[in-house]
Amino acid sequence: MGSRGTAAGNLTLAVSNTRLRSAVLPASAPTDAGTHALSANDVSVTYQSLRGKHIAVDNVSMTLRPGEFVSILGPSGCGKSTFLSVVAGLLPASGGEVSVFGETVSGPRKDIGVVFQQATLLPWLNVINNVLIPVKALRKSDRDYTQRAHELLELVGLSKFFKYYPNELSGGMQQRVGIARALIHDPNLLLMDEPFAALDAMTRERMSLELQDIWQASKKSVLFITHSIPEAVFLSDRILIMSPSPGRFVKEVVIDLPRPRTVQTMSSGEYAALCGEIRKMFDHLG
Amino acid sequence: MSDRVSSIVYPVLTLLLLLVVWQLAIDVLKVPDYILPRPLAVLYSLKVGYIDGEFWPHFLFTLRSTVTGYVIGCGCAIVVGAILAESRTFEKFVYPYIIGLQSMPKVALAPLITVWFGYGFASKVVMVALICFFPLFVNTVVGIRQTNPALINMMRAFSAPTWYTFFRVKLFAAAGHIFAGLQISIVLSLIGAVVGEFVASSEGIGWLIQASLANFNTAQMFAGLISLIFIGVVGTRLVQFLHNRLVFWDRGTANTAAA
Repeated sequence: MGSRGTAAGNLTLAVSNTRLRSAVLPASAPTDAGTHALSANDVSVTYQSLRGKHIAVDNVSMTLRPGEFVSILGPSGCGKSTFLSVVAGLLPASGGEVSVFGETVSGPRKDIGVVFQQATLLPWLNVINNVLIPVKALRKSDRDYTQRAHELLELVGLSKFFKYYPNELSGGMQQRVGIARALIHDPNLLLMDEPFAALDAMTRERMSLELQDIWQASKKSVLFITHSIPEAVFLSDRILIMSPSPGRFVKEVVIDLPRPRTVQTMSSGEYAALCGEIRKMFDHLG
Repeated sequence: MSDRVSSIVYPVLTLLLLLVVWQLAIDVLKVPDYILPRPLAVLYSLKVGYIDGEFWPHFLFTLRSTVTGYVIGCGCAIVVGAILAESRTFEKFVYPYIIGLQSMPKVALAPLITVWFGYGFASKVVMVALICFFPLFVNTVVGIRQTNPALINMMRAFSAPTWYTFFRVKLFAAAGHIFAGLQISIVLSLIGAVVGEFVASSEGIGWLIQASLANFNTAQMFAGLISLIFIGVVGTRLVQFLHNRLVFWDRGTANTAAA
């Protein structure tokens, strides 16, 4: 894993890339796992706290097909971010198993890109060097990736800002740098942990549109965590609805709104109906 | 008057006023020279010291021992602080003793240090190093431990090795704290040098001040004090300048450190 010889310099982000790769990967994993960008089987996470055992994530299972955009939607504290940490290899599961492209996750992986709730840029590095962090951390020559970093900044609309420092950028711009950073090492799976939660409503809406474009251009598989119903409906192919304490998936909603979705989509009746339907589900959850 | 000009002129006016009051107080109250020298006498002593050259060896001796001790003490503080911040095991082994050592007034060690390191340069360096170690050590530990956990988590998510995260994230994150400690240590290092010279020495500004006691040469004492102030101010300014230059993303902390 990780040692893919993709020409980092070009950002063709080929449509069939992920599919091709998952086909090439050895099918050592259980039956159909090889075809999934991500599969989680009965994942549980329990904490030992002063009040006793706390179940944050309870027997959660899901799959993500290559190139698919799936959101996990739930209220704050329902365990969705915890689940994402398990998928990212940052937190060991207390039970169950996660595999990414057929390989069991046992720690952080080099073929995953993560976008966090906070932009988490290093304030002492300028934008381009922040984008290059994953590459430098993997001790790869960043010279090979500089061109790609510029192209990614172009993709997120920040090509002119590559020499700026994070504190000179707005929250939305910082988060876009975070997205470019998550894509620099050409990961096949992108994990996004409420990436727009810290942004104001208007910036948020624009970021949703931009993320859709970025996703369509890059054809990455995306697992997106959010507590915003409109955001989830707008972006996703499928939404997994998570209920709190203990966190588990209670419903799956397939969003078949035509793509590319636009500002018009946001004001369409179909869109409103889907949002309403999901809102009702949460009402029933209490 | 522009801000820049007034920030130079106003302090000078304060100084002039102070000197006038000083001179008047001596004239009116008839304070003898050996209690409080006239400002001009201090100036004369400085002239004899630095233009005729008598003070230079002492000034350089104090400067050398201060800078050498400062560099050694601060270097050790950063290294030991970094190791302690990173290793809970190491912390458990040494922390109680470090706390004990910290709560002891370091100047009380001066006679012992003289016994161990002699009357010369070495004992001053050790004294300085010891006294400027602790504030910087504590600041280093706190600074490294206060690294935003989200940044460390981010580095982990991108498979960065621990050492990489340490050198490229934690040390940078701690830089503001480290520079604040460096600033505090400047002043402390001067205290260390002077105490060392008070206890046992045959040169240095501290020794010069003490030697002036023999003939109540208060003007020379003042001249010595002014020399020490000069070293302290220049040193502090230098560290502040480096702080602003190197920790450019965190300017807020540069001028707030107690110095």
